[in-house]
Amino acid sequence: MTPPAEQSAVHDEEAGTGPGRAGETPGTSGGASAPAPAVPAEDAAPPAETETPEPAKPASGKGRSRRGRRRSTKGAPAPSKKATPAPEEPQAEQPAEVVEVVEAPAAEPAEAAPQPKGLRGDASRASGGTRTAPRTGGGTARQGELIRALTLLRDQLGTFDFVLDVPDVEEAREARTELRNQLDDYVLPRVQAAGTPLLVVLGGSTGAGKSTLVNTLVGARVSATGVLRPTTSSPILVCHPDHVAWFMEGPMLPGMGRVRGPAPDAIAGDQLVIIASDALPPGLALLDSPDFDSVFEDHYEFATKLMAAADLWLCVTTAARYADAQVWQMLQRAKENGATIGVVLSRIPQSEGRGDRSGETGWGGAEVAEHFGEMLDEHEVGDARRFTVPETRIEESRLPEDVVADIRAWLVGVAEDTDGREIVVSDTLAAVLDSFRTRVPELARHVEAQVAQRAELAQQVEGAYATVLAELDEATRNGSLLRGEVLARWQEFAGTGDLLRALHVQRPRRGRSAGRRHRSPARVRALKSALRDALESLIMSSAEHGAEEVLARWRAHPAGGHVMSGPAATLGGVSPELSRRATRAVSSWQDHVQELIRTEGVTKRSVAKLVSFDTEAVSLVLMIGLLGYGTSEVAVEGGNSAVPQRLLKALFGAESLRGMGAKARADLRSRIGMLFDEEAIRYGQALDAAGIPDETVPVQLYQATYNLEVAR
Amino acid sequence: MTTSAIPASSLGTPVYPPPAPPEPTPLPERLDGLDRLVQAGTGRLDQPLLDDAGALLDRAGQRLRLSGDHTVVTLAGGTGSGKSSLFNAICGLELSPTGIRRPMTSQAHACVWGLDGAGPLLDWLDVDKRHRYARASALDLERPDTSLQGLVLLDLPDHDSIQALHRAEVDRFVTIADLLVWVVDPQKYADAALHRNYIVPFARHAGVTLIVLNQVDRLGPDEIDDCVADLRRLLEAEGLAHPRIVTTSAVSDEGVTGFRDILVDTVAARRARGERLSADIDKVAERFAVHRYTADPPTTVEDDRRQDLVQALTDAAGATAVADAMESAYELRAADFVGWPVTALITRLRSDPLRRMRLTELREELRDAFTGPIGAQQGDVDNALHTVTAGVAAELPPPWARSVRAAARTHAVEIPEALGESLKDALPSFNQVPRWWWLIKTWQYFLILVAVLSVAWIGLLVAYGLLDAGQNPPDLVGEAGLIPYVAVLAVCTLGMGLLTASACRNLVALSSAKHGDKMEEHMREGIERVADEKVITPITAELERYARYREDVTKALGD
Repeated sequence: MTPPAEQSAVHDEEAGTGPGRAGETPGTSGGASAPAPAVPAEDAAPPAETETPEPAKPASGKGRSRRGRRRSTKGAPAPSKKATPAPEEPQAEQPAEVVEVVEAPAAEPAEAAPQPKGLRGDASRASGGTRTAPRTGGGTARQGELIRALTLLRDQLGTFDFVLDVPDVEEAREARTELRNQLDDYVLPRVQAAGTPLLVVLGGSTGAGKSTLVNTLVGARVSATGVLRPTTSSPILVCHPDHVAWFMEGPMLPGMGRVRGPAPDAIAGDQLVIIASDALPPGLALLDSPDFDSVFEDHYEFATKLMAAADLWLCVTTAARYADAQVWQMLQRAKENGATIGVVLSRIPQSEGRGDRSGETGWGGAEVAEHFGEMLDEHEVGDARRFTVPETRIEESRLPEDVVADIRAWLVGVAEDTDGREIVVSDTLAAVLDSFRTRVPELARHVEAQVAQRAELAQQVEGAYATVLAELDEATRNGSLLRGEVLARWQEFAGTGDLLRALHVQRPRRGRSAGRRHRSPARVRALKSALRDALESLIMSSAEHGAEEVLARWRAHPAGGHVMSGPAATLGGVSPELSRRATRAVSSWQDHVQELIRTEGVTKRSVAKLVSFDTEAVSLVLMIGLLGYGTSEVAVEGGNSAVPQRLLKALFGAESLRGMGAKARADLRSRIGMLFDEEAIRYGQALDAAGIPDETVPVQLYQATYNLEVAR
Repeated sequence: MTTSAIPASSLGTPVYPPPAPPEPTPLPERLDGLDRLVQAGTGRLDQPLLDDAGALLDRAGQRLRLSGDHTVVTLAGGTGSGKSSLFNAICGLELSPTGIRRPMTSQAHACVWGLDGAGPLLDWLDVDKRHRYARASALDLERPDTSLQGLVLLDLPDHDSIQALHRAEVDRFVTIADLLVWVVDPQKYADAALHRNYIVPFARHAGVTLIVLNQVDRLGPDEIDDCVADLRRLLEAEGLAHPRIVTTSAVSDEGVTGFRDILVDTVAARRARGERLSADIDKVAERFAVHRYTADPPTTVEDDRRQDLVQALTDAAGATAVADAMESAYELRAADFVGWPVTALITRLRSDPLRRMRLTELREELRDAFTGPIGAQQGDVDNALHTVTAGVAAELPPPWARSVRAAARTHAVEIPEALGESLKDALPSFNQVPRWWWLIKTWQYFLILVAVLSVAWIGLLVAYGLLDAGQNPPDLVGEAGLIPYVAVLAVCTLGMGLLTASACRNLVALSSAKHGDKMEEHMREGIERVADEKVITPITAELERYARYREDVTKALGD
């Protein structure tokens, strides 16, 4: 893309060196109207004289930047080199008409139907003044700022994805693509090169006759027509030969390839076919876009993309289709996107040939056109310029010249007149920028919805693991672990007297019963490992349960589908290394308890004199006590409630025991909590990997909108 | 341009689509199959699928109860494609208003040929009474319409206009019609609204779908062929097998004859209703078929998985530990009988930390710790249940894999209890006291008695024999020379007691090991019973359900 400054320099030169109709044109156009001098006047002026029209402009209420004006001549250097540009065009009337067309919306929407021109000249001119006022005074610096703000906005739009399937997400995705495309295809090029030809995009239903209309306007068969639907598959741009180079290389629609027309048969859809035609005046380019309602979805995409890039969008529909939902959706969308809209209702049935329908000629056409007009008003696009084309015989892919006369007159009129063209162009641009005010925050709200969903999903993970952890905590308290192996090992340890023997350990190791002592650590070891296994499997099953719970919750969550099928698909259950980690956590907890007994288990003084103990065995007793021995039915059945507690209390005293118990329990909980945190993190990572936007994105979008407003 | 039915044979006569497949499964049977699928799927498969199937069952039941002599044909299409004109042309009367305003028709119009039994049908179709018309053939002298006897022709509103209500109306009728006629025109035949919303979702219904390309009078003869070929290509690309396309023009009377002929044939064949429903069933059944793998499903859990489960449950119940504990208890108890009381006495006299801690009663309590097995680790059980279905589930479609896993877990909470019970059942052999223990006990006390007597004897010998304490002692106590012999006797009895004790301990250890093994075996049997009853049986039942589901899918598919 050429930097704007450079571009404008080039144009200056062109304007300055342009020879030609300096003498004759001011004479004809100078008297036409002060607010809108004709193109050639500008063209011919040498650089020094470019200043002269300036003072007149602010007075007319339409003053715009010097820069904008200079660049606006870019589209029309060619005619000056030519002998005479279409002298039969009534130049004096053009400006008035253009103003009317563009400004009519503000003035009198109801009257917008095709009518003799000039009726509302005054009113529209007045309103034109007010509408164009805000656009005045865009200096280079300002423009640079605007471009920066727009580029920033565009980049920001590319930083996130709508990945979660929340309601309306399709719309949001589409809106985002549309915004980006519009920024790339239209707004940025337009802001940087304001004087380029007016791009008129013909969009409409399949079979509405867009190509036929283009062919007729161009006067040659440039776009294929036919009975097969859809006919046009790649967009065809027709422009004056002088603009071909600009369109071939220019900044408009940067995403599309370019092919020099006439079009070869097989062209990929994203190629823009550019055809030069002398029949079009300079400053005007017609783009025949694919339909928006046929079975080919890429056509729809192109149609909307091109619609967003249009300075003027001409919607072509037919008498058979004008009530189609799709037509009105597109019109609505064009309106929301700020496009300047024209509508063509084609193929209006003539009475002859459909004899049984109505007697008089034109009866049907009038009724349809009237109904269509009502619908336009109803949908608040009544301000669009309307045209009608009757159903007629098509020869050589063209309509009879007379039926398109007023469309041609309007388009040519807009294009021929620099100022009027500028108004159309900048009106559309301003409307598009205006539309960003609502569209970007709208998008930001959608992003916020995604962010909220993400937070909800994250909360589900947290909730699931919190529940599981609470259950686990309860299970380590209420004695439900003291079953099966643990209980049996405990019974063996306690019942065979090994427990009591542990209290003698400090006695001189003379090996009173070396053989039996050999056995006691075996029982201690067995109990210890049984305890470890029990805790471990409890942790494993809890983690498994937690993982299942998370997946189940996500599956049930409306937005969870994407994450489930995407990054979380591999997260079936617990992480493979959990088992190892759990073993480590439990055994280090056991070590910790033993350490606790060694360091904090200050034996009651009265007992210490008499008894010493083996810390390992006593730590096991403490663990058994902590796990709730004597609190559940185990004790009731066992009939020996709270043996460990009593023993420990006698050893350490109640207070010290309570302290150790609390510490040991807290330590266990924190170790398990850490394990579960690591488990839960995997789901957080899955959420991250899913590419759900985070909460900074909407803020940035709001900021970008604000910046844009400031820059304008 | 007149009409030609396409696929056109060389003569231009309407060619009827390929004949129905030979001997299809009767509709009621397929519906039964579908019904069972819905039952089997409840709680296992997606709710939308079940809802759709349920709705179809209702609809099919209602339609089958209503007149089978009538064929409901809907004319649907976009705005301005000439549905109403076609409707009027077939009816021969201006029944449905036509015009060029769009959208034109906003409510369905119905025309019935042959009124018998049509009333309830129209009520079911919910056509407004004001828009019902009848062509009683007998009254229609001008054009005898007996050929269309049994036709219910519906003129629907458009589906693509800005009036969203119209589309809802079309959706409703399209789901219940017997023959779907899509009216398109050269301008709109490639509209996404039609293809995406109706042709593609109803691609299965090719047999009861008819595409009418209307308004061919607007095209040249060559253009018609091109257009039809393009339309056919489009439809085939969308999965509509052998699409029936007919061209019409409602402006002339001849223009609709081809279409009319097809209607006549359809009505006469009276097959449309069944074909429509069977296409519906096909569609739903195929969605059920997604949840059916072609491979034969496993009938039960693999043997090694089962072994693993039993092993895991054994571990969860701590069977080995329980056996060990029981052995220890046994030996402890045996020591009471066969142990050498003298040793026990000596141990008693040693300093006891418990006594010093004033916790003497704890000793008894600890000795009573052997209460037998209680329950099993829930965590271990859960983990075991989690892995047991892994192999089976891998061979099943996801919803069924889920349901099998759930089935394995139905009794998860009861299992620890059941395991504990089954372990307890294995205990009794441990609780008896063998008779020889008493013998040994007697023998030990006898030895003690002998020892005590020997000591007393020595005492007497010392008193009488050496000190001459009494007069005329009996020989036995008076003979000091006996002392060494009696001392030897005493020492021997003491040694004998110790020997007996240690020998018996070994004997006890042997028998306790034997008992332990026997008990473990018992426990294993009990655990296997629990595993079968609480885990394997539910899984097998679920697998059986899946097998039946597969059969029902086949039945519902009708092949």
